[in-house]
Amino acid sequence: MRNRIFLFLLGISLPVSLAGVAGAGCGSVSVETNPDGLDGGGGDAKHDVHTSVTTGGPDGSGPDDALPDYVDPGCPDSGPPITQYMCDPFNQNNGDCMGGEGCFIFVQYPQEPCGQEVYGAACAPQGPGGQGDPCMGFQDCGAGFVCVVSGSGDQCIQLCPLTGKDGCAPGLSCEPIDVEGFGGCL
Amino acid sequence: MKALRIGFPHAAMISGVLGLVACGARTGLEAGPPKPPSPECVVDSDCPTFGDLCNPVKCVPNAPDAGTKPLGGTCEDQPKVDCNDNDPCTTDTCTPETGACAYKIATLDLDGDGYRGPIPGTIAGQPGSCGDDCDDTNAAAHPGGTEICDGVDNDCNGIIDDNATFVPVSGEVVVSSQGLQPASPGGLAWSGKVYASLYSGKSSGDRVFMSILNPGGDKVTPPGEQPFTFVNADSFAGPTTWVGDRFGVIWQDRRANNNYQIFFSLLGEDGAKKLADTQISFDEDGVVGAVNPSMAWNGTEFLVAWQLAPGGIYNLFGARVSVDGAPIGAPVALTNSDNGLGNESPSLTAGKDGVGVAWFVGDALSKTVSFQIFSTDLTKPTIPPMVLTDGTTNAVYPTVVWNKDRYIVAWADWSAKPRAIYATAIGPDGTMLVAPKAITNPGQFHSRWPFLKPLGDRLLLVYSDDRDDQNAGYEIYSRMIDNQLGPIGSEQRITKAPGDSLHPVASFGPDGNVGVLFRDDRLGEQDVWFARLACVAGGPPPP
Repeated sequence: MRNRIFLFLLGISLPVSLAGVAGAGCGSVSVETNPDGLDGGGGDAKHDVHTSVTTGGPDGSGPDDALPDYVDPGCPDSGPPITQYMCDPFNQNNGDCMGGEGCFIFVQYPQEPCGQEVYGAACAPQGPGGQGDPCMGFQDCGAGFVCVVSGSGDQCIQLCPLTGKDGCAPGLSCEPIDVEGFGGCL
Repeated sequence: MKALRIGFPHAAMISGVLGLVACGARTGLEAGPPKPPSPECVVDSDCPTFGDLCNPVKCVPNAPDAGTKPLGGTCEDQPKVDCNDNDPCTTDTCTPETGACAYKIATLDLDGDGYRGPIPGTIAGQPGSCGDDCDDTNAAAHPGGTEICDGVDNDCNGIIDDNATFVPVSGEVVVSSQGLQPASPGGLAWSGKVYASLYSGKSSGDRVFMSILNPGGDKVTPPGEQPFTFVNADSFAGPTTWVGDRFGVIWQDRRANNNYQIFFSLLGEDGAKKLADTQISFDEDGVVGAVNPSMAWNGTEFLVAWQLAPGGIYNLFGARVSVDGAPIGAPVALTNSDNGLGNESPSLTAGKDGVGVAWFVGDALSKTVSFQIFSTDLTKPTIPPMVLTDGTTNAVYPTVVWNKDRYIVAWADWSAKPRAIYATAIGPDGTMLVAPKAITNPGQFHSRWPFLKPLGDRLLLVYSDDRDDQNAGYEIYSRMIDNQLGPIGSEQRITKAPGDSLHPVASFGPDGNVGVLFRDDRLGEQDVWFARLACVAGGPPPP
C-alpha cells in the first residue's frame, strides 16, 4: 500500500531569539514501545500433555475480541503553533531582507511530548538552488524556494500559496509543507 | 526443606576458609584434614534454574569420597520438555510454571466465518498453509462461497468479482470539515459495515482526523469527525487497513525527540480508538526523523515500512506489529546506502512467500525505482534488489500490490515520454514477468499518484491526470488492466470539478463499490473528498 507523500521542511535552524519558546510539555500522552513485542498468552496446559488449542480469544475465533475503547489522555491544547515571521516569504523583494538574502520559512520541532512547534520566517543568505535542485538545507535554495524532504530526494521547490492561484509550473501541484500556510510546487 | 537451606551458609563458610588456605593465609586450621569442596546444592531448589519445569534440573548427590559422607550434590540439567509436535499449523510453547505444552493454532479466523486464514507467506488452501480462507478480513469470502459483485473473492478462486468492472457513480461528497484546510487523505478501508477514513487537517498545526463513513461517503454520527491524534506537534495520516475485526492505523508525528516518528494504533468500526499510540520506529536521526510510512496486512501481522536517515542518508526500515498492536521484535533495516544514494518512499505488500517492497532510490538528480522481496519476517532479502528504471528519467513514488501470483509495481514517471503511470509484473521468485510499460496515456500531459487494487486476474488502477487542459488541474481517473498490464476496456473519469483532484486512495466497499478518498480544491481550499465506483458484472466498461 502506497503511503501518502508529505513535504517536510529540511534544515532550517531556529533563530537564536526564538530558542526556548517551544515546548510547554505535559507528558501525558501514552507512548508505548515494546521491542520484544510478543504478547504472552498461555493456556491451561497440563504437564507434558497436549492440552490446549487456542487462538487467543475466548471462542477460539480470533485474538482478544473484546477491544475496549482507549481513552487518549492527549495533551492540553496549547493553542496554535507559535509563529514569528520576520519577513514575507511570498514577497521576497519587499525590502524585508538585505541584498543577497532570501526570506526562508522555518520550523522548530518540540523537544518533548505535548510541546509546541515554532513556525516562522527569517532572512538568510540565499543559495543557487531552483526547482528540483538537490539541497541539504535552506542555504542551498534560492529566495522563494524551500528545501524539503520530498520522498524523492531532498530538493528545492518553489513556495506556493495553498489557496488561489498557486503559480506552479504546468504539471506541478501545490503540496502542503509542514509549516502552516505554505505549500511547495511538486 | 527450609532447615536444609539453613545449612547452606555453613558450607559457604567452609568454602571461605578453604579459600583462605588456597591464598596462603595461615590459620590454625591448616593442620587439620582437607575439607571437601563446597556442594553446589543440597536439594533441587538450590539449583539456579529450579522452577522452570520446561527445563528441569535435579540436585544429584555427589559421590562419597573415601571415608567421608557426601556433602550435597551437583545441579544437573534434565531432558527438556519437547513441545514440538511437528505440526506447522500450531505454535508450540512450554509453560515454565507447569512444564505443560500448549499448542496454539498458528492461524486466525478474524472475520469469524469459520475458516482460517493461511500462514503468512503461503497461499490459502495449499499444503502447509494451515488455512483455506483466502480473505480472512471478510466473512463473505471462504471456500464454497458464491461469487457476487462485492469487491470480495467470495468463492476463493483467486479472482475478485469475476469478469466485473467498475464505473464511476455520481455524487462526490466532501469529507473533511470546513476549517481543516489544507486537508489531505491518508487511508481508507471498509469494515463490512462502514468505511474508516483517516486524513490530515490543520487544527493548531497538522493533526490526524478520522471519520467513519457510510457507503455513500457521508459521515456516520456518532462518532462523526474526530481527531485521532491529540498532540500539539504536527501529525500526518498514513494508510489504514481492516483486518476482520479492527482497523490498523499508522501515521507520523513529531511529538517528541525532536523529529518525526511512526506511530500505530487500532480503531474499531465504531470509530473509537482501541490502543494507546504506539511508537513503531526507533529514536534516531538528525535529519527529519522517520517519515512516509507504508503498511500491509499479511493475515496475522501488520507490516510497516518507513524511511529514516540515521547516518545522514535515507534508508528503509521495517517492523512487524501483532494484531493487538504490539511491536514484534525490533525494527530491521531493509536497505543500505552503499552506493551513496538514498532509499525513500517505501511501499510494501505481503506476497506468496515473502514481502515485496518497492521504493525510490536516488536523490534530487538521480531517480530510480527499485523492488526487492524479503522473508515474511522482513529480516532477510530473498532476491537482490531489482532496479526497475534506467535512471535517465524521474521515476518516483512507487506502489506495489500482490495480485494472485505476482507482484505488480506501479509508479509515476515525471519526465519520460509519456509522463505516465508505468508498471511491471514480477514473480514471487523475482522473475520479471512483464517488463516496465506505460499503463496510462496522458499524451503531452501527466499521470501521477497511482493506486492499485488487485483483483486476481486483473487490477483496478486509480490515478490523477491533468490531460483535460480546459480544467486547469488534475482529475481522478480509473482503468482496469490485466495481469499482463494491458488495458481492459476504456478509461473512466471520476472527477470533473475545476482545480486539482489528487492523491487517490481506494478501498473496496459494499455491493461491489470502490470508495475513493482524494484531495480536491474545487471549493477554493484543499479538502478531502469521497467518490465511488460501482461494480458492473461482466464485460469491459463502456467508453
